[in-house]
Amino acid sequence: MAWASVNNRADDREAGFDGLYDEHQRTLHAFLLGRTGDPEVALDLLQEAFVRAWRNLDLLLALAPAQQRAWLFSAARNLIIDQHRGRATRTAAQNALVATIGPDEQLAESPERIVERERDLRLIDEAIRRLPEPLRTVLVLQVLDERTSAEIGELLDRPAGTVRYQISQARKRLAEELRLLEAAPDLALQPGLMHQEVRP
Amino acid sequence: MTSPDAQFPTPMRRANDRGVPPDVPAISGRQLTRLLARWADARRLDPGQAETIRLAVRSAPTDLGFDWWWRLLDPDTGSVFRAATTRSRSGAVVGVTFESPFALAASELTAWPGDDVEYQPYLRLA
Repeated sequence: MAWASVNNRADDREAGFDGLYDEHQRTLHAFLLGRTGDPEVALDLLQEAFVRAWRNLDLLLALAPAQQRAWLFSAARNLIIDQHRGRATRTAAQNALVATIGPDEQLAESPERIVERERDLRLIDEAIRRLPEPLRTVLVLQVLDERTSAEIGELLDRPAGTVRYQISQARKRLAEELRLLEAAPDLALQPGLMHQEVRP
Repeated sequence: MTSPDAQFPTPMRRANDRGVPPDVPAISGRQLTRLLARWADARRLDPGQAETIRLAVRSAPTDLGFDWWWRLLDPDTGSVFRAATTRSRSGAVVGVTFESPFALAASELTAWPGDDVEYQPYLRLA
């Protein structure tokens, strides 16, 4: 009897977490990628944010949906600050994620095509990373999470008109950065330069 | 008198100033949209990644253990007491946020923190 009660509580807890996770993981991931500009770090921080949610689940589940979102984004912001302070970023979770790409998936394309696609992705990653942070965040939320300006504005506490302007600025700047990188792609692909701040 | 263009150079002019050969074509809006769509498809959290993270999170221990509490409450070096010292040295600290296992009142979570707040002095307890 007591066992059944414990099991029920564990099930409830997992179900509660799943609801929260399904609701917010995509937007939170886009937010973290926008803020950090680094796909690997964003995945790490996403996991860490949800670990915090998991540990505080009883509190979180007692909150209204808007407050749950506020709590999660607050945790994510704190994690970004920690990450800026030089915390280790690569974790076992990263390796697990890399391992999820099956060998069949890797062999489906020719090696040349994979290299080319990876190069293009890294160029776009780098161009996005070079955007000023406020522009990068709105752009990534729009592109990755397919959010409207109004929704992004609500999420970031900015007027929708400001978000629209920032998205248009972000696209202009991105086209410029891509053109620069296209002219000198080797610069973007040198490890040392990937994380060097570039100012116009 | 400098022209507004000189003060706020267009993206194209900035690119040229930074040594882009003029024969490198500009990227059209349509091309950019296509590139971004491809990028988003590659970078969006796919179901496999989402599931891996979900399982990793659900296997994380919920009990933080004695060491965690000791780092928090140790009378000599505990984070709580360091926080008090920092606060008294720096005066009023606005917008300090920290993760705590103590239950937060729901009313404290209603305000959406502005971007400035997150760069205020930050106290990390974990």
